[in-house]
Amino acid sequence: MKQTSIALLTLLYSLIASADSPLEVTDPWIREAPPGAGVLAAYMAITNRGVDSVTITAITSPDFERIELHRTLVEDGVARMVPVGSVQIAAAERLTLEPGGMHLMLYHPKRPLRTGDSAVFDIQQSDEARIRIHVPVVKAGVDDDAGHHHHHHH
Amino acid sequence: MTTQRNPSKLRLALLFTVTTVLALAAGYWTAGYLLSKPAELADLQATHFRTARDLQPFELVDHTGNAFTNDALKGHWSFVFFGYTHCPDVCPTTLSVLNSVATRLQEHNGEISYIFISVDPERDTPDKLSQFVPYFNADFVGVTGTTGAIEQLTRQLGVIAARVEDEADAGNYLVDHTASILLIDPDGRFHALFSPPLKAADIASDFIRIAQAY
Repeated sequence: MKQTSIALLTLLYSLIASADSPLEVTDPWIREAPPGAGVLAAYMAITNRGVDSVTITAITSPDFERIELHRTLVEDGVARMVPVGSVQIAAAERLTLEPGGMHLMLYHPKRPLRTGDSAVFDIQQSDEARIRIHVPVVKAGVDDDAGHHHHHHH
Repeated sequence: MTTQRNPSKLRLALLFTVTTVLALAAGYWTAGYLLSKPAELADLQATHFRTARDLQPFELVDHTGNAFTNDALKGHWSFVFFGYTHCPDVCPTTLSVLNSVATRLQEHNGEISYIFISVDPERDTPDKLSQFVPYFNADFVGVTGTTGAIEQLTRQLGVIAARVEDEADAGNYLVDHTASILLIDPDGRFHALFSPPLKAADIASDFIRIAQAY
């Protein structure tokens, strides 16, 4: 019961953007990493529900030393991670962070994060507005393909 | 060419033409020989080499601290992926795909090894790999070694690994690396290559056909 209400609360936090931000974050998750991993990855979709474009300048979390936005590029069979400084989302556009594409690099977790835990992220906009989201840790299951993950939203 | 005012020039031109045709034919035949596949392997997603490549002797160490040499790749098929533990996106995703391949190929258990070789031996000690690799599947093997030994292996396999300094953090670096999965045959030879996008279902079905044709 307690777990259900926490999950519900997490869901509500993730779905409802704060009043002063037009950004809506859906389906956020941190990929559970092996014990002792120094770097984790997080994924989510960020939709701009406003009429003006929004620039995300930083994403911070009290649970990690540092967060960077990266894009994975595979060129000529070689995978590269390219840091992306700030990112602009045009009105009514959606930015999708997903495995094998754009993702958040989460450096040095300050506590062990296992499936069922969640971390707090603050998404900072260039206009000083920010939203706070709660991101659950999920173990990516036995995937059929790269780029998909199976987890449940109940 | 009806008038032959300069026969020696003509002979030279003829010789040149014949040589060119022969060279082209030889090249065409060689390419055809190297790239052609037996009929049953005609429509694989994988890149299947007509002639598997022998590996030069190498000496690495697995995540339990045991020596990992050419012999570790003989007597069974091996799926080999090169990556590093400070890689939070591509490497866990690929290891999850390999875990899915292993699930699909369960009935071949014992005939296949799944091996993760570090391209970041400086940070990836056997101990570090022992925490990372078995997390995805208890049977998977992590391999590391000296920088020189790893380079010697990647070079002969055509695997790329390039260290890139992290501009945001002077003490940190990233490693660009080949995103493909290599298939080593039971004779320890580089036999086929699976390139991204990596799909477990395709890899498993290609593997069965490659193994049957072997």
